[in-house]
Amino acid sequence: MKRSPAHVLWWSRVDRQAVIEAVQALVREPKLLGLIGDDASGLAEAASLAQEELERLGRKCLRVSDLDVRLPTLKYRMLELLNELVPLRQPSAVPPTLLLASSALSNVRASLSNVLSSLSNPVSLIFDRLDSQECPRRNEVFELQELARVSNTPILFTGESRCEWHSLAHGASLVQLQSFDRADVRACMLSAPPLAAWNNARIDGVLDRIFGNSTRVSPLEVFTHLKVLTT
Amino acid sequence: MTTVTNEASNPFEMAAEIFLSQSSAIVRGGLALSLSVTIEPDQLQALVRRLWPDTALTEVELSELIDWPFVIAGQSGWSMLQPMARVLSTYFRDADQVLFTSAHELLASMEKSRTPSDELDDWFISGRTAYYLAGVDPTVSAGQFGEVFEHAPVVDRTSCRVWLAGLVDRQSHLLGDTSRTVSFFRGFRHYVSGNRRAAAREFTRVLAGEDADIYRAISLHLGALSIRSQMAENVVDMIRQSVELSEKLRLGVNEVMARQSLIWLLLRHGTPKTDLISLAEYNVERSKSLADRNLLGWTRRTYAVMQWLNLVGDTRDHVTEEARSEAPSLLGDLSEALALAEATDDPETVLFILNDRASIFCDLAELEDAEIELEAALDRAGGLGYASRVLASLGKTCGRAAILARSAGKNNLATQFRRLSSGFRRLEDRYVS
Repeated sequence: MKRSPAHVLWWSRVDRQAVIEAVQALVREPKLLGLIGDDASGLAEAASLAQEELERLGRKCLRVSDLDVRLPTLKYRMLELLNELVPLRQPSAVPPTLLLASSALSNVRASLSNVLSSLSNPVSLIFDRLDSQECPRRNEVFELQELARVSNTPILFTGESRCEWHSLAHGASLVQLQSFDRADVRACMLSAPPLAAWNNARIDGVLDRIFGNSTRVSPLEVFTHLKVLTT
Repeated sequence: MTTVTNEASNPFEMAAEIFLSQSSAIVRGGLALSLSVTIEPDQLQALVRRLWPDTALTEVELSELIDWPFVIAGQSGWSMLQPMARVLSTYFRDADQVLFTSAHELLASMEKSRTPSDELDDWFISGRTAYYLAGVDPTVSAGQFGEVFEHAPVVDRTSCRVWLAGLVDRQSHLLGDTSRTVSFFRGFRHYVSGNRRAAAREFTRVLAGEDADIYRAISLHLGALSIRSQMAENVVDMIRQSVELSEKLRLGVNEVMARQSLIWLLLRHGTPKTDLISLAEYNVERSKSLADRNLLGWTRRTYAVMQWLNLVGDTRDHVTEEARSEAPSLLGDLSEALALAEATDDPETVLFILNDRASIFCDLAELEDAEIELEAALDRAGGLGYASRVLASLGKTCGRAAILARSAGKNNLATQFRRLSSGFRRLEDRYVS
């Protein structure tokens, strides 16, 4: 059993307008978009929202995370995508992971660019937790940007704030995921069928419990509370 | 509600408190998952059944578990966000140390029973087994982590070792935060990130211990390379000790790597070239016996360069007839070393070899050929991705080539070399800034 990549849970639909708008811009002008946050910022949920928006805009989304590959480097992720895409066109082909495993990243990227450019139905790509092992090297981010540019493919990645993304990814759009305020969470609760029928006093009670004395709370805390409320 | 800490102070502790108030099957599934690197859902069900025979993790509960925001899924199975896994595994250990140990034993046993799809898979299985053994016997785990490090795959060796270092980091609370194993792997991560000062600090901690083991052998080498002044007296001594200990412990990869470093260091200390040639030739034979294509590329390059330097001397200003007649053969050896470096995706060695070839062409006053090598180097240097001293070396070769070209009245060529030099300097700036 695997969580469907497109599965976006209601409680993760807290206002992420910045993500949606960035994705819309990304489809208009395919390049590299990074969603940046810490472990508790709901990166995976934001990426799922982005995926939903990409697919709504007609871009089938291929998503590859560090848990989809043996080694979470960009090269192995690109090889995984090649494995996924190439058999569709040539069923008898030898898996690219075998052919290109000892090749330089730039060669793997060039192969993937060719395959993406030749697809009759253009796709979009999401690389989850690009920095799950170490912050990527400049050449890796460069190759990712080249992949987007050469193949005209919208590419999104998620990563933690500890990496210097502004320096690593010149020219990429970056969205820093923010923590939530009461208005964000209230909007989310009102859009959820189980909670929409609650009166304001009851919703305020829940918000008081979630926020305590804080004005903003991490997405992880909000998601955990809201999940429990309807389980 | 079960208490994780007296007062939940971070989002994960708060989330853990809520999670631990769920049904026992869900909680037990989460506790078992917190110990796993990755695990397939059916294996998780089996693990829960073995640990708590009265508990069944049903399909419904599995789908409930995957919906928690800290549970993540991929093709290799399920995992848990690390900060949450740390909170839950600590809770598990404090609540029931015996069961906590049994869980690790079972996970290690499940890992060992996997059938590897290839050699690389076999290596990953060994790494994950070492990870689980940390919850059973930290000493055995530490030893196995060292073995796995030494036998990392030839292709993507550094990336594989960084992956392994990540596993050690996740188990640092079980291995001992100040243990030599944890310090070694932290040092290694700093070393490959170019953070030499922090690396030297960690390797010093490893070397403070008495054990003459793999961690000492490798720390002597990498610790020496992390010392700011490479001309310091103890640097050569440390690397010699690393070679000797590696020979004694049969750590072939580190032995060859350390001897490689030793040769280049001794060159700077003015050791006679004939001695260096003998050492380099021996290192080629050792890397052949290890059947390690990556090391063979390194060692063949060093052997060829030492022979050339013996022919032309340190100043490289007079190329004898003998040197001129040997040059094609040595350039050919370097080409073969280049092919080996390319075949094992080692861009830094590729650049060093192109620089060596360009330098030899400069020595021979064949400046057009030197330009071809340096153009190829600049083309590939864009893919290096990190600051390396090879960029400075390439810049110096360009500078020397420009002077030689101008002296020979080849002003257009001199301009090309200056352009190349600027290109390498720009890359250095980009990587360092």
